Amino acid sequence: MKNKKLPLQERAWFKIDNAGKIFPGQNNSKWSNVFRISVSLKSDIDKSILENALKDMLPRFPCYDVRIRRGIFWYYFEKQQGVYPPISEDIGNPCHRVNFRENNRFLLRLYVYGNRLSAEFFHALTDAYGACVFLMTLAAQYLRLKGAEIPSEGMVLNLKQEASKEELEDSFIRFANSKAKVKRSSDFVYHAKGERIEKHRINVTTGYIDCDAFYKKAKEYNATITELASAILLDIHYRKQLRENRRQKIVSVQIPVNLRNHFPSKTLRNFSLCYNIKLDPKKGEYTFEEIVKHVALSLRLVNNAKELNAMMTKNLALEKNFFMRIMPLFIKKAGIYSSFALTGEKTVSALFSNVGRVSIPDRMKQYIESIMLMTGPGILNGARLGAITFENTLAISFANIYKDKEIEREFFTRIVKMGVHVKIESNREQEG
Amino acid sequence: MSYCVRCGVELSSGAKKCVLCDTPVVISEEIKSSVKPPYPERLMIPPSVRKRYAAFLIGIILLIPNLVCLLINILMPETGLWSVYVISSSVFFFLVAVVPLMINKPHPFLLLFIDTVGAMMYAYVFFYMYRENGWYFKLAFPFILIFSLFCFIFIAWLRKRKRGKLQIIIILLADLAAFSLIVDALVNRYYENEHLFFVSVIISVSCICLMLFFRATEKNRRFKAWMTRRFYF
Repeated sequence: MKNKKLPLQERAWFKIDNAGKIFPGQNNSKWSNVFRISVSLKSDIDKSILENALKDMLPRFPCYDVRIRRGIFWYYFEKQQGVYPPISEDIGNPCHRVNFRENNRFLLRLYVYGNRLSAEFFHALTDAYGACVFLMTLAAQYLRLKGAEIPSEGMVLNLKQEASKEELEDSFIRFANSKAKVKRSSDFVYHAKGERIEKHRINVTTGYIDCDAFYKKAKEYNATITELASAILLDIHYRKQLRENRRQKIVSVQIPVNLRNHFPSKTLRNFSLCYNIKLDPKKGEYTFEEIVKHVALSLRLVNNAKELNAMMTKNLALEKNFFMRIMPLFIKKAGIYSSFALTGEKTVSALFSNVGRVSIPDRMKQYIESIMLMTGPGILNGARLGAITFENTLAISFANIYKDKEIEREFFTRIVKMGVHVKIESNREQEG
Repeated sequence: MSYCVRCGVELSSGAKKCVLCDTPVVISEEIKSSVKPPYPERLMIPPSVRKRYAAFLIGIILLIPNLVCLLINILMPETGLWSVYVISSSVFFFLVAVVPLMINKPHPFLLLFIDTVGAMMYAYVFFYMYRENGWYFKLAFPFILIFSLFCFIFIAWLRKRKRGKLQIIIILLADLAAFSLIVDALVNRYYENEHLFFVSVIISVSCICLMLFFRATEKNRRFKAWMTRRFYF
């Protein structure tokens, strides 16, 4: 039977989704777009039980059980057969670059360190939501094999069911139907640079924050958690640039938005978009309150289905363009690579990715200590933040490629000064 | 449970210092050694790209058109020895671009030596086909040799210690001035012109002016800061 006529879960290969298409082109020997999500259980993890749990649950996620291949015109995913991603001992430099030939050719990596289970995903495979569903289902199956009774609810998928068509679809194609044309501005912005750490290394600093207290504080500013955290980040960059006494450039924070909140999609593949919140210091001096208001208003202006649909449609139009489609892969790759090198991170000063609250069965919560999300290292940016909330703990992780830790220090101490409790954990602790 | 006295954040148990401000934490050695650090010390450093594999691929890709050209040229000898140019160009490209990929951590002087020999041989192929007025020994050979010598001096100077951007620009300008004078003299002597130096004088004077300007900029920190601000792009 032809591949196209088969149900998605049985196909030997399938296309990379619209958002994911760009990531293999950006991938090189020094840098990949990889992110990590970790769950810490209340007891140490037994690797052999975890391997069995992985074997039980991987068939439920056919879109992750794949390797990436080069076609003549596009990269595509090919189903893996009879192999599983290896579970390794954790490492001190998370989110290092992906090599398509390593790791049994899987694009996801699994690590165990004491009671912590971590999964690293190449972004072409999925976004943070999909990764979170995968990890929660894996943790739930592990706990079941350990004797716990965990129902399938929220982010824990039912392993007895087969993957549905909706879970495997490219939701961009289904929902992008706007007639509006949006223009994407790409101003070159300020970057808080410093002395770089060695290649393939990263500084990770995670702050575990009292979520209720932080939420109350955000409400005092008439903002949400994402808006307040992004405003703090923007304010830090804005003031750092002022102190540097240089030509003032725009400062901006990139905020990915989960499109599942606006469109009825169940996809486990990429379905998110990023927008940039900018602040132009040339317009005058800003107080922190003004910055919070600016971020909140800007976000609310774009965070609606119509605006996002227009952005999605624009991205999809490029993929559907006839000339783009017939262009050989090596030319596309060179184009993506050079466009990313020329613009890419130059248009954002920092990133704040908030997955929101993790939804898992109540009976599973008692076995979990904490959950954290970490974005991959940037090429220019020292402040790439991942945030995730479990119970009353908001975990915000900094991925920094610079030795300097001024941004992290300012960010967390400001939260402390707001009267909110913060607990810090970092891989810098091992430094002499 | 310990807190940083400066930042006010709670630190993970066993932390020797605050990771945000480096303020040391006073805890007993027993606690320090008993607590597992948040991340292991083991690092995963990905292996570097297999350059030799890429070199092999480029070599094969180069070989095919060369063999085709050679074959056609042998079958049609009346068209002249045109395949010599194709093959010699490919060999020169191979020496300059592919050989560095085949050597693990190549030494810059070794690469310079290979490139110099390659350029001399490449020029000699053309001289072999067109032997006019001994241009190879009077012009091409000394030109390549002097160029390599300048490269050698520049690389040696650069490797000695870390140099500033302005210093590099000044040395490059000095190199350009000296090189243009020598080349001008070689060309004028070859064509038996009346003046030994002509165009190179204009180039050298411009270079010297720029060198003096950059030298002054390098010395004056305030002026340097002003220039950086003004010409920031």
